[in-house]
Amino acid sequence: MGALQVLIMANYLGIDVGSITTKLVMLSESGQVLAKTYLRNSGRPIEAIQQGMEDILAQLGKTVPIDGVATTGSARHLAAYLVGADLIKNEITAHAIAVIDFLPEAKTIIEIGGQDSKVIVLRNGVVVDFAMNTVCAAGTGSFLDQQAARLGISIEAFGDLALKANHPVRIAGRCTVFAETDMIHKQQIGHSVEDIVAGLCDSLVKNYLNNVCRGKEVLSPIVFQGGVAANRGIHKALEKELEASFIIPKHFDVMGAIGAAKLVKRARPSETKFRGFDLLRKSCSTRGFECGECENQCEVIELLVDHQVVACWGDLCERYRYAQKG
Amino acid sequence: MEEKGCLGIPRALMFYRYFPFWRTFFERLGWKVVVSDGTIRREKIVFFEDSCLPMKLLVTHAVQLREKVDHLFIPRLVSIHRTYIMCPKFRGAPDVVRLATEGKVSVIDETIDLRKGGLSLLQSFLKIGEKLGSTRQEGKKAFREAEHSFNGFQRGWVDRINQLPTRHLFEMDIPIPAQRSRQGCPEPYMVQGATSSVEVGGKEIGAPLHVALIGHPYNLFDADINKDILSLAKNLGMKILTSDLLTEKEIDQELSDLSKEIYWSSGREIVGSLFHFLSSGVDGVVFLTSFKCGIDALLQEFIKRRLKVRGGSSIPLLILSFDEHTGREGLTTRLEAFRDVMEEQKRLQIAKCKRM
Repeated sequence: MGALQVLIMANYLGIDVGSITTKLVMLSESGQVLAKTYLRNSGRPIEAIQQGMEDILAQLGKTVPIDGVATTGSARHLAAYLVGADLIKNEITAHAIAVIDFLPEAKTIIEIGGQDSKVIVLRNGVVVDFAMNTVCAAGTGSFLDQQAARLGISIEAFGDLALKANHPVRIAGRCTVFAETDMIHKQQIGHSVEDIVAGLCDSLVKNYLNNVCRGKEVLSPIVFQGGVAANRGIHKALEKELEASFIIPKHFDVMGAIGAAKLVKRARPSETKFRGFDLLRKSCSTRGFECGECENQCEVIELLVDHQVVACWGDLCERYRYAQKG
Repeated sequence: MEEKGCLGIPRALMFYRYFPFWRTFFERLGWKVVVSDGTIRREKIVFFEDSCLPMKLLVTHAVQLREKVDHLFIPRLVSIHRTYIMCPKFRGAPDVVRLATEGKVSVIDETIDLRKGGLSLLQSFLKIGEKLGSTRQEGKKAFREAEHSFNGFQRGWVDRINQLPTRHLFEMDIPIPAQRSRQGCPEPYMVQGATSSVEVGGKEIGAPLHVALIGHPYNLFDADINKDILSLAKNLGMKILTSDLLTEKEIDQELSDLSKEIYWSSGREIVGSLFHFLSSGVDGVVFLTSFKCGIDALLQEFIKRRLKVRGGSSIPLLILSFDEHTGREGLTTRLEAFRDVMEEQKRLQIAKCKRM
């Protein structure tokens, strides 16, 4: 019955390619998540997207017709060229759309991802303000990743370890480099790993609140999402600092992809540009060159699928883009 | 008139406001005006101490011109307002350039300090003229023509920003193109580069979004600093307004109730125009700041606090901070999201009007 339903009803694919992870979601007409995947890019977004499509297919059990595809995240353009997207949307709007459907009365979204962290201010179901981290990644997941690696613990164990702390140490959170120096110092004078880990959580939270949320009105209900929402240490530290309790959506780790899928569902493309699931068996690669036609010296990127150039971007004058189309 | 030689103007700092004045003045005195190239991507930024990016760019452009000109024009801008002053770095600019160019080129560094009274600007330029071997008579005439040229240029400024590519903004010989017939009805926002025609913006909104860009002129118009935010904004269907549109009175109105005076002229202009635009007439306001700029850092804090006291703003405000990033992605994301916020607000307003 389930498989039959999938075949008849419309399906929408949302792809969120961030700096550290790639998220894919298959959404049904009724907005139900049929399949989802969350995986690390390891610096190879194309392979991650292909792998993600394979995961989705495996979860569904068979190829299904797709009625629309949308991409978001910092590699949204690359992803769109690769899979043939009907819509490209920035990740702020995508995250907001996902939450507005999930919890219409939400007033604040805290999203902490791999290299970006954001706060989105909602009033009456509409985004009225937002902010992202600017010049520093100290308040993001990659900071935790690095410090966990330095302490020799897995990032998955990190959050729970923080909860076991008795006396969290104070660690400078202004800058990753200073935090690292500070942390090593605390190790050397003999603090326990639990206390240091809890201290790191506190410092990330302070950094996030001072950098990203400064001047923003953070009101409840607050929705907490993004990969870092899985980290119970951060979750607890943030709640304590804000004196509020958060709502964490079931699909907190793929909310951007859900938002993208919802947006393309709303746009209802008459015919999707999706290249199909065959893509994951094709060889896909990119190559770049520096154009010497003018002083702009654009770094142009070509996308090759089965050794054929299928898309081109990065040229400010769009000379190559049009050559492709013509 | 026979050309007396080459006079170089670095494409940096207050070039982005006063170039039409400076160019006309020097050309009328018989000098060939040479401007450094806009693109520094190819060349390395010249570093000196821990300065802000706009100041580093001044030095980079000056070094680029060093071999090509007889004189470099780097005025010592102490004050460009009868009461308020410039950032102290402007005072030191000619000295910094002298150090960086190792004294290999003559630097015209006449002090400009408008606090000394109405005629002080003329006096400064007459002195510059004399240094370049002109009589006071010639200097006066060139000054009047420069004023005329500057005023004419300012009048067409908003049209220039919205209709010319950024690299042509200060090419005074390129006229503003005639208004296109499609004005007021922007192209639907096409999905960039994707082979699709679904609108990104969603529901159609007739008029373009009016966005006020606020900040130091060089942050607004130097594509090397802001990654050409102007073209990005225009491609997203925004019509750009700047503080150049406002009178001094309009700017001062918003500053009358401050508990403490802002004594930088640029700071006053930024805060005054920002609150002017936030209180009426535009769909959104974007404040462009330089990461290393002390004035901007204080103003940001000041603006946020003032907004809080006022209970927020109904017009969306975006604060962007620029430094030596080379990627444009972060900027694109923020600007696209900001457009979504503005559109949503506008849609709500239209719906509200219909209900009434």
